[in-house]
Amino acid sequence: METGLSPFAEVLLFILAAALFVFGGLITARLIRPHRPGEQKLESYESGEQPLGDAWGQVNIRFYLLGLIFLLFEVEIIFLFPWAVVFGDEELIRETGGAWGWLTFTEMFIFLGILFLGLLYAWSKGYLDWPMPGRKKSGFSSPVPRSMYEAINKKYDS
Amino acid sequence: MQYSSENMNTPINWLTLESVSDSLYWLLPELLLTTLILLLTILIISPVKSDKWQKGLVFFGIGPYVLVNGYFSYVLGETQIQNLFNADMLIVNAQAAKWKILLGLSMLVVLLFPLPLTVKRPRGEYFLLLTGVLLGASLLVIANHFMMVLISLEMISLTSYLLTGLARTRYSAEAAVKYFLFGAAATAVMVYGVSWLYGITGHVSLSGSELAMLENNFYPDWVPFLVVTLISSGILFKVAVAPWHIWVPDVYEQTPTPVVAMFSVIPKLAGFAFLIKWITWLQWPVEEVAVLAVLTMSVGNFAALRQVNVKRMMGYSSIAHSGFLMMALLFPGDASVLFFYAAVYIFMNLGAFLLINYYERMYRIQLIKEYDGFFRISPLFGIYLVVFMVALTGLPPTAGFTAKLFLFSGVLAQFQESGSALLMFTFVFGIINAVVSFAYYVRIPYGMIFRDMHSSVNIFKKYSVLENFLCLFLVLAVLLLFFKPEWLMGWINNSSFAF
Repeated sequence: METGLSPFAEVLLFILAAALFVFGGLITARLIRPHRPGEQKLESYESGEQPLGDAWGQVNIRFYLLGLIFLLFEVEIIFLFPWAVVFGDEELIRETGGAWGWLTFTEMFIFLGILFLGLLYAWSKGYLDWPMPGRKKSGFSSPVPRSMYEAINKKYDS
Repeated sequence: MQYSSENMNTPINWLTLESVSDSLYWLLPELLLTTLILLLTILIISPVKSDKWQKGLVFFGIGPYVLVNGYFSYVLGETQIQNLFNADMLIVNAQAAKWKILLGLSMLVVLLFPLPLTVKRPRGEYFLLLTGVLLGASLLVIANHFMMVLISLEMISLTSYLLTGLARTRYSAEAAVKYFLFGAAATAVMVYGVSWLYGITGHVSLSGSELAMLENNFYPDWVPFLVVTLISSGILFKVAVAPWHIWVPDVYEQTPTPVVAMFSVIPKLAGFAFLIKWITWLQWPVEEVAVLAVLTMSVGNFAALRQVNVKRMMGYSSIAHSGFLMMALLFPGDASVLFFYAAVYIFMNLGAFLLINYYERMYRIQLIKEYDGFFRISPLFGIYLVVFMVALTGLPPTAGFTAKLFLFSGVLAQFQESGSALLMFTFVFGIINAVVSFAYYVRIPYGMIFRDMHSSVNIFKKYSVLENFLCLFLVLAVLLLFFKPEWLMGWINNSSFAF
């Protein structure tokens, strides 16, 4: 596509369009929406965590592991889009007698296979299960009976 | 390669299918390693729990890797260059193939190291990560484009961080986190530098003449300096050149010894194989290299004098050797001395680490003073250690001497040619450093032979056939290369190491 623009100018256009999209939406909404503030409307939306405690609280490290595995497949999907464009290029397939299609097809499936193997690895190691397999409860039994803790909790629970 | 719209419309001109299959042929060593990694992953997932299969598989993969590279170095002849995919990203020539032979051979030796007990079984991931390091190093050797350099450096780094934490002890976790933080910072700095380079020149390949664009009068003087410093930091961090060496002592002390032996050889040599390309691109900045070399070897050697832990001392020794290898970068257009020094360094360093691993595994000793009196228990291993320490110092009759001789005579010849006082200074400092290094290398053999055993050390006699043979092989290599250096030098010079 011949646009007569330098690649940097295209990037600038993208940034401008993105800014317009966000602020345009917000400003239009502001102009036409009714204004009825409420306490519940300030809470986290849908799947967000309830904001309790401060932001520096500890998060279970396995969240990151799951997040990482998820991200891997996100990237895979993003990578599939440009691939699909090149894969389906009619001119290239015609000129190479179909070899182009097979080459790109094989390449992508090798890539997918590697990612799938990684997923299998994580699965077999038990990283996908939330309760860790093979993790035993500690044999520690407290000399303080549980009822005492509960009594204290009740006492200071106001 | 510039992504202009013209290129995008007619990719078939610059990337025909024949060139793809041809290029894949020259990528065969890397493809072998990739296949090996995938097979290892399958083995880890599979119900086979013994790691014998994995070990066998690794040898079965890396052996052919070395052979294929040997074949390539023979086929490619003196000056033939394969520009893979015509993309200026990966360039294979005989020199790169020879570097990869060195890497593969040292990986084979490292794989023979018995692992300490702190590394839990089954240890399939250990072999997988080692292969990952080798793949990264192998790509770094043929990389000719900063995209490729970053990917391969990261491949080395990420696997290295994991290998550091392999022992799952508290201290090894500390070392791994330190290494990761320093390494991540170094990579970030390098990526930042590359972004400057791209912003100014529009290219990040090492084939072009971007340096001229970088150094034109349009930009103030500090810009090219900044760009080059930022980019160099990432690589110099990996090869542990001062002042980017701070991660070395902690990591070396706490990592399992076979992994340390690998750290001291494979990322370092791959880094130097790339550094020589980078320095060629910079048109041989002799003064800067000389200053860094002197600084590195001095820091390494003088800090090593006061160490009590053997592995920490070897860490500083490896920094010092980085300094000497930097010195080998002082000869414009000639990498044969660097290659010779690197080859000899592999033999003597892996040998020394093999013995450290042996004593650590058998007698649980890590401090220098605990080695006292061990000569009487196993004279053979004592003699091996003497040879390796003498070689690391650079004294005859070992190949360490030959390597340093080539190095110093080269610098001297260079001085006579250019008359630069800095080179004379480097030469003198190199000699002083070699003398200083003798003081700490000799401490271990001296204590072993002339002092009495510590009562705290468990004394029992135990031989290990594998380590015995491996050490013998390395000792013979170190001695043989002293008497017949022309065997290695001849092989090096049958392909052009000039630029």
